[in-house]
Amino acid sequence: MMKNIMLRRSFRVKVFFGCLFLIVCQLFQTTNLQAKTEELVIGLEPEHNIFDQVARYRELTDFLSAELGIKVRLTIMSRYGEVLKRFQSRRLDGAFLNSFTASLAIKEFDLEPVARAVNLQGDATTRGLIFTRRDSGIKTSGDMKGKSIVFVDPSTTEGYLFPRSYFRQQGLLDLKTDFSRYFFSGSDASAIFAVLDGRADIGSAKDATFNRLTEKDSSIKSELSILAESPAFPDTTLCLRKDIPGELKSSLLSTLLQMNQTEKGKKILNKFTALRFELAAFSDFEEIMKMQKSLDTRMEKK
Amino acid sequence: MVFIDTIKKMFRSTAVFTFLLPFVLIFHLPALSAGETRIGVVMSGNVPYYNEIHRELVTTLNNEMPSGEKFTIILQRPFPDPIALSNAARKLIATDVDLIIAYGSPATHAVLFEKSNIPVVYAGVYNPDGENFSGPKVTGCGYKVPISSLLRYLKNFKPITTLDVIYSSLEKDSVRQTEELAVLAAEQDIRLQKINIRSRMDIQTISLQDRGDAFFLTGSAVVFSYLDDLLAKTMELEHPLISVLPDHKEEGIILTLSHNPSIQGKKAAEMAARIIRGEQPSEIKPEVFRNSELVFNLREAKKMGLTIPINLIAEATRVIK
Repeated sequence: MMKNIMLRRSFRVKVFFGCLFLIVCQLFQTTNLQAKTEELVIGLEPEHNIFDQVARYRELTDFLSAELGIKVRLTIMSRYGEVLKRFQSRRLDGAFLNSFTASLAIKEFDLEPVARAVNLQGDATTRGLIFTRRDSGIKTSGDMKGKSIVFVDPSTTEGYLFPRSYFRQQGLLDLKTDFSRYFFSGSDASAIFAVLDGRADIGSAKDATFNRLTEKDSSIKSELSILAESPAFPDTTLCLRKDIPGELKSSLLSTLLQMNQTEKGKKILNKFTALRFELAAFSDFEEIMKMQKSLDTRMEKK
Repeated sequence: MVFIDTIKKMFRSTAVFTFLLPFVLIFHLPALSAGETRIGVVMSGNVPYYNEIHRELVTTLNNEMPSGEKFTIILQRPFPDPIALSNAARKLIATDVDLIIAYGSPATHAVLFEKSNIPVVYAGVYNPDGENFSGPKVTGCGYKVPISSLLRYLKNFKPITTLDVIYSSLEKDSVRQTEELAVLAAEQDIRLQKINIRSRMDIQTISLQDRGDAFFLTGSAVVFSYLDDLLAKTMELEHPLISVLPDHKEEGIILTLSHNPSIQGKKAAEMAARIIRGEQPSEIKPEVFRNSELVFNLREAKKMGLTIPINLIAEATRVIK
């Protein structure tokens, strides 16, 4: 009898401490998660004018911080390699990524594409353009052989993946032997100026930058001739880590998607040069992933 | 009677002089050994750009010539005026060189004007398609840089309402550049003031009154032969200078968009070597190089109190600090 009572007491004590341990663990995990979600670190890939870019994004992140009640912090990354490191070290919760980087990051780090901005023209996609100077005499792929070419960056869809894919279709397979010279300008605008100045015979860049420059200076359009245009690719997309708490993810998404419904939100969107945010999907990146696979571009990255 | 005698004497001495001139010229040119290829070179003035083309030409020719084949270069650097250039071309023709190489539009025109049977290779000519260098005995290479880009960069760091273009009416390519610029200026509501330089004297007489906001230097042999005098004159105004030819001394011109002269020197040498090996110039396709180099001289910009925006500097092939 006494033994039974002792056993039951011992069992109760064990159950009590077990429950206590679980509660402490749960508390610890919650505290840890709260501490972790006190700040959301979002990465940015640098654009041509980094100061202008940070100013545009800062207003957006300040707005998100106020709406979500947690600090949303921006951090500028250099290249794809840094995106990789930062997501691996878990020092990034998400990033606004171009379609090329997003495609790789989605595949490799299981990121989730959540939202993308719709630009002032009502478009959330971009196209790649291949262009030359109108007086260059280059009209066909045969004329391109032996000429110099400027790409934007090996980690861009419009400024590298698409032109490489296009040249491949035209039988220009090897950059080193089919062209006299190739180089990377670092930005879409620089690629356009390189062709305008005659520093390269052929260039590739995003249509949005091309249109922005030609709107500013109409002579640019009259001097350049477009040789090829790509299909539509998703524009810069916000991708998040999958382990971000669901509630926070939903709040962030609904804040972004509903921004255009308030005056304050509209004002910030306008400064961000967007009309609204819209949902992004995995399927948006399928075509790019196929192109990446066919060209094995990662092997060729400089 | 005395007067008639004097005339007769003068006539006799002129005839003797005319008779002796070719011999004198040949005597003054370097002695040539039999079997050597003799290459005559006429440069439109002593312009650093053409000198650089020539340096590369000589280096490449040394490599391109068949082994054991010797060559001699007879270089003429006359003042870039039509008479001096014409005399230089005649000297080379009288020497019966195997090939003539001409640098710049004025020298090429002077050589072609003589209509000799000697093959001609030209280099350093702005957009040779517009020069009408026709004939079975001529080929060569030149350059074309987009003047519109130069103007675009200039407007990005200095508002321009009036632009002074410095050109030479003696040189067809300089005139064509001025015409191109005039079209662009009209499209962009920029008033163009032309300054024509035919001799050193023209530089001294440039009026500094009512000048525009900047100077545009065309790729003129006359202008670049007297560049130091021109800079000394224009620097008083502290107006930016831009050009389609590089500023070798890197003193004065703020912005240049130009073609690398070494590439033309190499190409001209390759063409010359093919002709020496027996090909006809008509079988060698002329070439126009369109690749250019953008150079900002920040040191000169600073002296003039101008700030070149960072996004422009980012485009530069080279920056002089």
